[in-house]
Amino acid sequence: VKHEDIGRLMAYLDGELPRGDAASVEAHVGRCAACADALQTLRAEASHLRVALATLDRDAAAAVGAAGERIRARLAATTGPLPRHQAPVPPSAPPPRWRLRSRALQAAALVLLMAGGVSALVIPGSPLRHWLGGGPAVEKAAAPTADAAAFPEPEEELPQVGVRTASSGGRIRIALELPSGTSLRVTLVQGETAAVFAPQGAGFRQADGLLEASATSGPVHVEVPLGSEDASLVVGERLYLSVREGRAEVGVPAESRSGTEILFRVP
Amino acid sequence: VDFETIFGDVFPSLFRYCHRLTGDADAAEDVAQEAFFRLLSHGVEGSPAGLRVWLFRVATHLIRDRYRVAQNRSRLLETYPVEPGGAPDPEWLLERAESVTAVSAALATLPERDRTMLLMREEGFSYREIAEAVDVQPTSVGTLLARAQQRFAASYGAGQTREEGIGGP
Repeated sequence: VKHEDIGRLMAYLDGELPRGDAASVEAHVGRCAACADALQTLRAEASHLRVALATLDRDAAAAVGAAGERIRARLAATTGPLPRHQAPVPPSAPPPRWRLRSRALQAAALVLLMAGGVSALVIPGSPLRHWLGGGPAVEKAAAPTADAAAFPEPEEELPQVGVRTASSGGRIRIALELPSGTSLRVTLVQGETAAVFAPQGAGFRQADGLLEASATSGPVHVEVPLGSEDASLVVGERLYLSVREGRAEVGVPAESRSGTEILFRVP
Repeated sequence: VDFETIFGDVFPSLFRYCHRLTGDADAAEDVAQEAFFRLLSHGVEGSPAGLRVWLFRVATHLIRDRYRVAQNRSRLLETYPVEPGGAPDPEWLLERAESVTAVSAALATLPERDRTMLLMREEGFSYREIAEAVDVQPTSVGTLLARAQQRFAASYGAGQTREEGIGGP
């Protein structure tokens, strides 16, 4: 038996194979235990990596908004107004391309590069970094209110409704239909009862070992029970989280993770 | 597409990527800022997807350079102790610090190319874009990623086992 190449299996998992190739891998894995095992190992390793990386993201998630604002302010303070919208591109034109239009801005930026040296920017304690960080006057001068919209504040808490469902035979499947961009907070809880909370207007359906919910806005909060032998959280077609024997595995990149809480953003 | 759009689309992902690579929010901010600054100052042109790859590539090089500088400045850096974040529960803080350290340590054992490829994949880059960023053939990306995540799993797993062994019977 000719086995699948590990690179092809990886590409299959990552959705990088053309449809015909993916079908061929699927067919082979269906009848080859060795390749099915290899695929399962790759999937577990990828999931393992995602969970591990999520532990690094807690600080990043907390810092990203403020860091973005500071960088915007520094760039605007040192180079003048940032390039804004170009004229609309007619439909027949080539795909839109971004480029810096202001030669004065390019010149100002280059002067700054030459004056300070690029490496100084990335060295903690560098005088240039401090200067770019700016005193109060610089920060004040560059605080365009329109820019704040790019880093949305946490979503406003609307009145929430929720449903709880106990595992059946140790199994519980939570299936959600959520619009793109919805903030999804998952809490790993003790016991065997799952719960979904969503803004008013959300629909719920319960069956043996199944809890389905459909919401048109967020935030949505889900409690996934660690006491179930087999619990899964699916959004659309994608497996976001699975719990087997008390161990949780994240199936998609999380925005942040803190203790028993995981924050996702539906792509 | 204007600068604001590129910044809004790419910055959160670039910041997270830099943070994962450096383990330091200040360093991530510095590097991301420098990458966007170069985008402006060099007048770089391209499609949004192309500019995204370009920014990640620049950030990766900056971080590599930063580590080289840091090695030469290690004595100085020791004089800047890390301040705790101020979270209320010391036990939680300790546990969290340990897990962050374990992940960072496991990432640090990987060759630079492996690290870059894994983290770019996690940011949603295609194999073609990853290949472009690390200068490999697109057809070899799957194999390289598979081996890289195997190495990470082995390194992280070994670290976890060692930790669990401390204080055991």
